[in-house]
Amino acid sequence: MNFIDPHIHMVSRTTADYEAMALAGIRTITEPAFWAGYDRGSAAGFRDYFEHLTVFEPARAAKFGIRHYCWICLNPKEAEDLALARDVLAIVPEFLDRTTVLGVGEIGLNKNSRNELAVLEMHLQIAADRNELVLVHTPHLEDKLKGTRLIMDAVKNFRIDPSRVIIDHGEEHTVGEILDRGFWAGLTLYPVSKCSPARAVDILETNGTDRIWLNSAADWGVSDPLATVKAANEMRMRGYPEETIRKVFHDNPAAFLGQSPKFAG
Amino acid sequence: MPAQIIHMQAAEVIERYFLENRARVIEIAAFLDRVGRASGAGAEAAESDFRLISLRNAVGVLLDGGGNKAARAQLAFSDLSTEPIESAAGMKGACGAWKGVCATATGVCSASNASCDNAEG
Ligand SMILES: [Zn+2]
Repeated sequence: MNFIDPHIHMVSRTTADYEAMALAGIRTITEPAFWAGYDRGSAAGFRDYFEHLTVFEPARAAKFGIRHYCWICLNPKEAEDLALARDVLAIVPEFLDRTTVLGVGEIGLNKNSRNELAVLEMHLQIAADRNELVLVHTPHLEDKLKGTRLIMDAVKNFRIDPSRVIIDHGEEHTVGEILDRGFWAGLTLYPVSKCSPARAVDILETNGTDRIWLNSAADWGVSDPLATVKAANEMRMRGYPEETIRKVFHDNPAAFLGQSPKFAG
Repeated sequence: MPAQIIHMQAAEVIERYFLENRARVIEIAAFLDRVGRASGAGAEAAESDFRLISLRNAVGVLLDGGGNKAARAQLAFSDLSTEPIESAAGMKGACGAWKGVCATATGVCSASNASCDNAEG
């Protein structure tokens, strides 16, 4: 089957990763704009990054038979500086117009501060004005529950249809609320700090397989670009039928992403 | 909540996942021993560190008779406040536990100056 990994940071990965992903059946990926592990010094630094996401990375992926889409924004880890945020937000719309950009993301919160919330709201305004899909990063660890709730409240204030918003990095204590409020939920397969394949499949078992996707969020840290394939194998070992596995790793992300006319599978 | 999906019998679940979870419990026990053995300045404060308090609260969830344990263990580590913080300047990572647990009913606790440099993407 063809897998979609809807959240992965390929700018940090090697060509060997691309090859392994292609061999494992990952045919389509989407890459949200995120933090580089250090703060960029200026809006010009973000312009270069957005250029990389929209020009170089799709071409690199294509060499391995993988379709590469992306999302554009100023990520929440660099959202404390409001002056920088305004400069970056000014260049976001020209990149949203590009053919492989599916929407605004990954926006959200990191430490749940007032400035992060203000920058989140600036992005939601752009998404509402342009009717863009939204990919949301929820905070890590102890900050996740509070941040997830603040984010969902903010989206509601902008009257954005929750079925066009994926709230990513959901875990056991947040997925139920995310789905109950009409959003899509993302589960991230990450060693130690997010979900293991077994826990992610447990979450499917308790919350169902509708409006939910799984991703690797592989980046420059300890992470695994084949995590989606391993989680599919966990489902297989537990006795899930192939059609359910296909739903989770292909049909669901295709349904959410297909709300953008730019997405071609 | 949708009907729960069940593909395995309880005996199969235990057969498949017991050993790795036995190992995890022993890892936790060894970790607590390691903290206990560490002597010198700060050893006492470490015992009341907010992270260890939260860990013990989460372990309590494992031992109680209730279900939904994973979500409730997550809550033992979560920030339960609701207002945004004033500033995130100089803060990037997360600690894995909430310093505010020290102000709740869980007893003596130290918020410590943990740097919590888990600044992943
Ligand atoms: Zn990400």
